[in-house]
Amino acid sequence: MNRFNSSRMFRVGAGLAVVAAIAYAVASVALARDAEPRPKKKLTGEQLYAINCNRCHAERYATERTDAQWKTVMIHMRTRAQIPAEDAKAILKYLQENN
Amino acid sequence: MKNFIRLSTGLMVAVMLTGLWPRTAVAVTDEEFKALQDQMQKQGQQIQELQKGREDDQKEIQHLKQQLGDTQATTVETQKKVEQTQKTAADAAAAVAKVQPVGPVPSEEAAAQRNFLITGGMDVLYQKHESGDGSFFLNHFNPILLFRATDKVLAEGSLEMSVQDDGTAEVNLEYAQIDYLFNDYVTFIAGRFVLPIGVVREKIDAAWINKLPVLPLPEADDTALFAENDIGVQARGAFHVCDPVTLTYALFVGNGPGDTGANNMPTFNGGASANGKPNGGGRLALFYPWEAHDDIELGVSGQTGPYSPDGKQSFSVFAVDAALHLSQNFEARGEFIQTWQENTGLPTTDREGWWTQAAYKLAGLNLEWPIINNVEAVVRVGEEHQQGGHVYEYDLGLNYHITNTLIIKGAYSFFQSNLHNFVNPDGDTLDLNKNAFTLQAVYGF
Repeated sequence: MNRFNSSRMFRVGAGLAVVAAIAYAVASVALARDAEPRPKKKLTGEQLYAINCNRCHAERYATERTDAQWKTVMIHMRTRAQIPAEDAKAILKYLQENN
Repeated sequence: MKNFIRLSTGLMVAVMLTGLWPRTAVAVTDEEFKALQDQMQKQGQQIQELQKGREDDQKEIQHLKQQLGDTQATTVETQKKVEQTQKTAADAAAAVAKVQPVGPVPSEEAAAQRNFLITGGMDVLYQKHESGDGSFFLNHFNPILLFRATDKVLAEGSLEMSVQDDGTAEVNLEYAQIDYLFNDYVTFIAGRFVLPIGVVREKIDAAWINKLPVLPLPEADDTALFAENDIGVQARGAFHVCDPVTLTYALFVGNGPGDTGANNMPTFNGGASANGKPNGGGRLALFYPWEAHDDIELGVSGQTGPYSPDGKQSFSVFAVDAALHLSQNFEARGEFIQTWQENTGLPTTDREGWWTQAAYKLAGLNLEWPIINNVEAVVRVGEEHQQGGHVYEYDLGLNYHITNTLIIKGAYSFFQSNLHNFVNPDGDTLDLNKNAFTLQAVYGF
């Protein structure tokens, strides 16, 4: 096996470097924004829906399911996507109010 | 009775003395006397009939009085019985109260509104390998069954159905598990679950979610480096460490991989334990969304445990994953996976793979062209090192979003590999050094 040849190490290193660079750039922008004092506000169910659902898949329309179905889906997604309980409850409320 | 007789006799005498006697004194014929005698006899009979009627009435009154007495006695007896029954019921209730368990079993199901839901996805693809014949495939029909028993209990499972090259249908149970929301921070899972290693299997494996029609090398069916699922128990959850940063965790214990399979790999069938000794693992990740659609996630995960029949050799996995979203239109992901497989009398076999992927929806260009706005461009770079060789992968893809879950995906995959006779987990021999064109229609429901 040639596991430790320089070419492979370079590729792995380059890949991780790209990810690290992107993370650094994003964190820098975010921290720069955070440096400006902003009033802290509680996120709405709609915002939490956009944050937690869109990170994996395209957002589904609230009208696609009934209240009972959304409750079932949210238990599934809270478990699978590891959404914090309070966020999951706010998202469910948003979906049930807009279906 | 006596008074009545006296009164009647008195009347008769009075009549005789005052009415009849003077006439008799005057002149009473035999006929008149006889008529009077008959009349008296009739009156006597009437008196007797009246006496008899009165006696009957007295008897009837006595009978009714007796009946009334009996009824009153029955009522009193019934009332006593009712009181006795009430006392017995009160005693029984007190006895039941005494034998109630200290911690009664919760019965949320009595008030639960149950719900059954089918969701999931399916995809059909056309694939043509370099110097090979192209073919259509029913790649997957993937229903996910969700049954909510209570607000805290969900039974869920996913069937993965596909049509093989020889036309036979194959059904795999991707997962089947019970989820119990113990509290806001812990959810317990029991059953066959998807392993929380990396993010592909758990979160972007579904065809309508995956940005390309092919999976990354370390998770693809032919070149998988670790198991997709396992049978066991798991605890997982999430909480805000500082708003809005979320820490997510998953810890599991399962049967682990099986004995040596194809290519000297462990078998990843997620079945019974090969040696009676459990495997363990999990994933820890930080998720930081600073705006809706702008976030970053970093995770580490792994698994370790014995896989050989004697339980002396271990198989271990370590993975690092990252994801980044900038606006609704840009997504970048990547993973690095390393495995170690101990062998009897031989050095440990190391395998590794990594990939990075970027996707951009052209709607972000604000060109106001309807067709362009529904197009997404994807690029992925990755490689994998197996025992005896390597494979590099470069994918270019274009996706057209007809709706949010109905997508047409096209991709060209460049492969460079020295594994010309690679044996996949199913035992099929493949040449991994073949480029491929893939066109896929996918729908999430």
